[in-house]
Amino acid sequence: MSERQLAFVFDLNKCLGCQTCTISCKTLWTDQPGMEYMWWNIVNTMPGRGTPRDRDEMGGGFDAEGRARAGVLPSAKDFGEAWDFNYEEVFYEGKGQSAYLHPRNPSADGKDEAPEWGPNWDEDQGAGEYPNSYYFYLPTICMHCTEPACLAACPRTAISKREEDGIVLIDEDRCDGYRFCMEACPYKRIYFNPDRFISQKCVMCFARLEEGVAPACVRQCPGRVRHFGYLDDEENDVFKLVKTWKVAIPLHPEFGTEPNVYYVPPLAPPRFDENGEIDEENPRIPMEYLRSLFGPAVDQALATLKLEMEKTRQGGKSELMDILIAYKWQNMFIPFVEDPGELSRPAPKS
Amino acid sequence: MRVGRVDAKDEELLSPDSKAWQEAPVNEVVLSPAPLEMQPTEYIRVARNGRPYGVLSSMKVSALHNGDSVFFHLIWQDGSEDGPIKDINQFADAAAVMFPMVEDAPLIGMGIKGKPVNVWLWRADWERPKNVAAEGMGTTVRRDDPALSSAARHANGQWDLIVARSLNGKRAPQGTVALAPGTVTKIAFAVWQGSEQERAGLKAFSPDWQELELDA
Amino acid sequence: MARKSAFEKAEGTAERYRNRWRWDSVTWGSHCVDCYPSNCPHRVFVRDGKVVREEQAGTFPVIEQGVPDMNPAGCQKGAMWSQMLDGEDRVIYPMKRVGERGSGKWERVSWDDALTDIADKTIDAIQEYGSESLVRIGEPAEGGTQVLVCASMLVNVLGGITTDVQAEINDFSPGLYITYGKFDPAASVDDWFHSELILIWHCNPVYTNIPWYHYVAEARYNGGEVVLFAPDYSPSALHTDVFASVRPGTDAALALGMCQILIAEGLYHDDFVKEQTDLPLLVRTDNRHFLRASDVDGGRDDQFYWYDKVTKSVVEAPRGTLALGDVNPALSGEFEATLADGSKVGVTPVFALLRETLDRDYTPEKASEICGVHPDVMRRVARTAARKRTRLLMGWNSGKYYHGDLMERTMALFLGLTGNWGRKGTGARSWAVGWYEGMFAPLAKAKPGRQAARDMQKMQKQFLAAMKAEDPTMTDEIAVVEQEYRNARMGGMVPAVFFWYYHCGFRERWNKAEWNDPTMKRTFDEYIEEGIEKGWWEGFRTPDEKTPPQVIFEIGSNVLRRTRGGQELLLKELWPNTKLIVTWDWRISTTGLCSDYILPAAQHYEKTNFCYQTPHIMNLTFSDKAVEPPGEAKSEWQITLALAKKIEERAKARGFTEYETRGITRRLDNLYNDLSKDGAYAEDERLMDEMVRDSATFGVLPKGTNLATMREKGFVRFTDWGVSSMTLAQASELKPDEAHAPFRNHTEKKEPFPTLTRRAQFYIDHDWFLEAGEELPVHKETPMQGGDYPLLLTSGHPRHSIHSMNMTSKLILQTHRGHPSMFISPEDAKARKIKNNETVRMYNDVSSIIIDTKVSALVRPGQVIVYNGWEPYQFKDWKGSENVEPGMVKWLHLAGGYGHLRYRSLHWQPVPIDRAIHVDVEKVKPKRIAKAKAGAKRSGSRKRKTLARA
Repeated sequence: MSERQLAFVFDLNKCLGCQTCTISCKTLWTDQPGMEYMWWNIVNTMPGRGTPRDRDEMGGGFDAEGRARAGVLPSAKDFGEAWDFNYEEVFYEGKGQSAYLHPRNPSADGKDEAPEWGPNWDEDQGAGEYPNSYYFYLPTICMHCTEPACLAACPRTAISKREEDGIVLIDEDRCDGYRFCMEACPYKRIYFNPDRFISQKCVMCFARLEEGVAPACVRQCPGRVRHFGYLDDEENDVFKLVKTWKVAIPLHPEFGTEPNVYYVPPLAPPRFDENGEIDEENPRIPMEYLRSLFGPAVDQALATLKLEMEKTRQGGKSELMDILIAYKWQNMFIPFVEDPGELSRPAPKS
Repeated sequence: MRVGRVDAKDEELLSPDSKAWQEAPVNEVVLSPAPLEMQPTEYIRVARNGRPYGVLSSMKVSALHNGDSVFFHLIWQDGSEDGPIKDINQFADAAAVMFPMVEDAPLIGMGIKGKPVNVWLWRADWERPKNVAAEGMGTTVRRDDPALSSAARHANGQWDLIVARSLNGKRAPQGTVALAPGTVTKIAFAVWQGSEQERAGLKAFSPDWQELELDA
Repeated sequence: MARKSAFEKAEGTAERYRNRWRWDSVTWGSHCVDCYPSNCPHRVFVRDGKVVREEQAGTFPVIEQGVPDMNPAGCQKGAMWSQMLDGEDRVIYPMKRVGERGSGKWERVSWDDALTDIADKTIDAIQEYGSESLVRIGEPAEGGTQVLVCASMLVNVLGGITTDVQAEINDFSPGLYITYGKFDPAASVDDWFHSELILIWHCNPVYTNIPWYHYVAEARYNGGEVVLFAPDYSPSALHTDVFASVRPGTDAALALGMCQILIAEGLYHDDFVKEQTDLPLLVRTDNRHFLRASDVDGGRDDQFYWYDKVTKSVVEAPRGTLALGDVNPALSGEFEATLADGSKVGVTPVFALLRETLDRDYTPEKASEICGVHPDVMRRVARTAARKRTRLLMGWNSGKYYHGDLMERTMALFLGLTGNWGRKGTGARSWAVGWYEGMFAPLAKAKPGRQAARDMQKMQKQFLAAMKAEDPTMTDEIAVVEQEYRNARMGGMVPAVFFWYYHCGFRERWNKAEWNDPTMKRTFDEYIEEGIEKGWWEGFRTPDEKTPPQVIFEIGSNVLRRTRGGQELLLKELWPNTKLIVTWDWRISTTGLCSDYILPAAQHYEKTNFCYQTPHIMNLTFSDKAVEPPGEAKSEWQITLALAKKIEERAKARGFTEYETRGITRRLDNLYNDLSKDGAYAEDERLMDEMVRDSATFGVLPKGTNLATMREKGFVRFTDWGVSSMTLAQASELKPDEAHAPFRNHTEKKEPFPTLTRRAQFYIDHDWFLEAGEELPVHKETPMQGGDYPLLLTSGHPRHSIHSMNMTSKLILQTHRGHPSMFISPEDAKARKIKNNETVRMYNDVSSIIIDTKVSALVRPGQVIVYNGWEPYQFKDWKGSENVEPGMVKWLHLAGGYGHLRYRSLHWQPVPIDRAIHVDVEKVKPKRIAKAKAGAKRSGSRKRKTLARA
């Protein structure tokens, strides 16, 4: 545990699954060699297999007694390879309409192997039976856990958690690429860079934080999903949503790492009964499913959310609703409100 | 273990089938898994509990020098050749020889603060071995060492590896063991099977230092 | 608040990350594309001469107190645009085909060679067939000033034609148009927050309004309710309070069922209905036409009547105002009117006819049988809407149904009965542009400079004054609209329907009775002939049957991807007869691959540009040149000038410098100077600056706005509506500190609508509408377009791409499956023994295509969805789902000669249909048809050795 902790709240009732967070991270950090297949931030459709696929069944984290749990080391295909495309063939090789652009797995070594999986492969597939289908979007990043399983697992002590803000960072100069961290991370948010033979993951955009600028995924989220700030700052949205209102809760609390990304769990429109009438009694998304993701706290979080929504619907005021509305966008990430466009950060001449 | 002196060129001694190696005495080195309880993190201890590693029970070692360089020829059984990894959940085969930098540097734990060890680490996906300095678990520092070279071959379910290093200590990185004709020191060995996801402390190793004596 | 802190032992790592986030310069950028409303200001970061990244600016101020700001406007496409600057599909050298069209055989040529050939063929075409054989396919795929102005100017000065953008893309809202005489109410997005009930209807904002969707979620937190009406449990259902599943194509029945409830339960807004709509107007019971002054006293044909309950008499309904004055018009009852010849005729208000229809055919139970929505759900929504500020959050989906006009008319009726327009948080939604008045001014005015702009504005004002003198009941809006009807006949932009009918092979399809509505009494040919005979389409029937298109300019758009009916038809019917097809683009599109030339255009961030502007955002947004274009790419303006220069040179050399089009003499021997105003606009910067300054002169931008001030802030809020028909259609005052809600002038100032009856018009007594039984909005089943097949193909804009622009980006492709997918329900997949991600054939009587499945629980059984935007070249045989769409148009949209049912640019005209196409799906064997040769060359990270990149 660090002295202070920066934390995120992702409001799933605003998330569009648009992957702008994903792209904002990709273009900032993971566009380097060896990182092609990395998506430190990804949004998955749930129910779904997640990224890497079946990540929830891959173990890691700690058990109820605080003992480390064994985990699986995912393959590149589990994460989704960075596909190749035959642009050249389609555009320039004189094949006309006999060639068409399509993705192929690079690991197939020249063979024309069609991908069977990718980081967002099961997007919008969902579950349930129409018209009572259900699904929602779940963004995940490194949770910068209070008790990071990755840090605990590393035999090189290459992973540290910073005292002043709780950022979990892999020291790439110490990392020997053993990948125990990848096995141990229960959220499976650590990737392996085969070119540099090191593990890499979200760095919470610390370089931006140092300049007072919010992380890219936070600042670039067009759905205004992401609140960000110090977990002990009582004036901050994050504090209020997590501690005061308790509507923001961790994903898989049973993993035991005390993650610092909190989620406002998803509501859904009511389902229909067999006569086609609205059935307000039974939720569209089964509570059992939500509990399997967010633990038992999800019941109270949703109840509070509904209660406060009802207040504004009746014309009343609700502090909680005002926070979630986020009238002023910058207030979502106090004190990291600087505009990067106003900064001067000249690049060293190569 | 005696390191016989032969009059042979480096190229010959880097060839596992050469006459010099056919005539060199072979030492059987007993290996055992690096103990689970010695693994540096709880995660590793839990994850490999009940999942065997380091099952290779022995290897054959011969050693020669030609006055300029020293050569260790390691032969061990390995059903799968794991060279450069093709997926992120794969690991390469590896082997190492280790020397104490001071008389009583402990083998278990790879030295200790103030009592370093020196390792020459070969990995099947590397072009040349690396020189590793360590003062206990998790403290290893890998360096390139142009004086290190190797030749490796995987055939018939067996690795044939020759690790060599110049006896000329001049270009040695800091923390490199000083070997010269007539030197008496100790040596230990370790092997990692990539196919078993062995890496770091998950290995088969020789639990005791072997005496090492270079012919004058 | 720089807050440097060490990562202790990991400083080496930390420093590397810090150094990754550095840059040499920052500029303003945006993506001037037709994603509507676009205009998201970004910061563009340049390092070592290369754009490395962009990020939403997030610099919008709060406009209205208590309403969330618009930050941080953007989406994943905008956030990765820089990656496309050197994408694999980028074009940076002029390319000329050396094989058959579409064969993929190219050679790199010089600009001079390319332009010489293009200029000669252009002159050939003019000489042989006249200038209207030069066709620009009208599309705003690139929504920037560079394309919009430059592209249209070149075609205009040559006397060529541009097919109507609205027809090409069909983002028309025909039913809104029929009702309001305008299709384009467009509240600013922050006004969505004011809504107490948002009906998402024919829209999937979670995919298509990524930057602005937060207002829906936030309106909900603010106490609003959100309802989705859709066939599928679409992503926009996730954050709603009610998802009501509608059988595809039956939305009119749903709306009418709710209208019936409103009237039967007395919930409708009586005053609003009387004041704003034609529902009190009297209809003759003998012939079902409105009672007109021409009937009563030989007066105007567009003077209508109502029955005043106060004076108990039939009186004229005023044309110049919506104010009722002392009149209390009857909504029910049968009355008698005396005609000019003294005879008596029975009359009754439209409302009475409507009520009769609703009670007979659309009780909630009957409507429910049609549309599948439970009557109680209809009651819940209707009752809420009657009490709450209600917004229809529509996209441009409804208008793409065969009977989309009927759907939209019923939806507007629902709004009318609940009093839901002309107030904050209410109304229907469509789109509008045309605000940036200076955009065309620099080229249209006599010479550069402010005085010439002021002279232009003065002329426009005089023109409007003259119109209003003709008819003092005209508002500015109506006068401008009337001016547009007249100007439309001068050529330039023409409806696309005749181009398709004569030259693209649609005639046969449109005449297929079985693909049309059974109430279409005659053949399509007969209707089109009647329309032509009556002169409704006089001046627009071009290129006519005697003028085969000779040269096609495809500028920043992609007709072979987008055309309903598919490239199959165009390649067969249009392509072979066309002498020259030139694509200007920054990327390789399917149209480009099938063109004779691809001219490399500068990308965003490589040229000075402005995005088109919309009331959704209320700003002019600037996109600056951050870096030079790579290779030999040029901005569209520079291509325009270079081509003009070359045409001039060739024309002089060939001694052909003068010709006539529509009675106007056109000269080629001074083309460059005409366009560049004697070189004054030779540089992009200078032209763009002049546009901004002219806009400020016209008063639509703040005084003193110029290119330099734009460079400081990146965007500027408009200060006045100006005089474009689409901005005046907003009919609201523009306030600096309020969200924009359209139609407030209609409700607050009682200004009339630009319709025949000057009111929101639900009754259309055009003979064709009467013949079809569509004088009132009713429900009709979608015809069996494509044949008798059990599945209905719907589609819509994708999440992943702006049209096809991002669809071939390697980065974006990896955020989904990377290949086209067809969504199908588990039930339908199972019945056909089809698995997830299996290659299948989708087919009907039009065509068949090969596509992979995505078996998804969100899909309604009986429905299949293929989201648009894929390049045809991403499908086997380059056949995308547009090939199974017959590309029908509804015959009634050829109606004319009736008040607002007349053509003007971007408005009333036939538009192509692509929703609810009948298809079936079957397995394909062998399972993976996609086995290209092993070892086929992959692009990978390998260095490309291609013409385009050489």
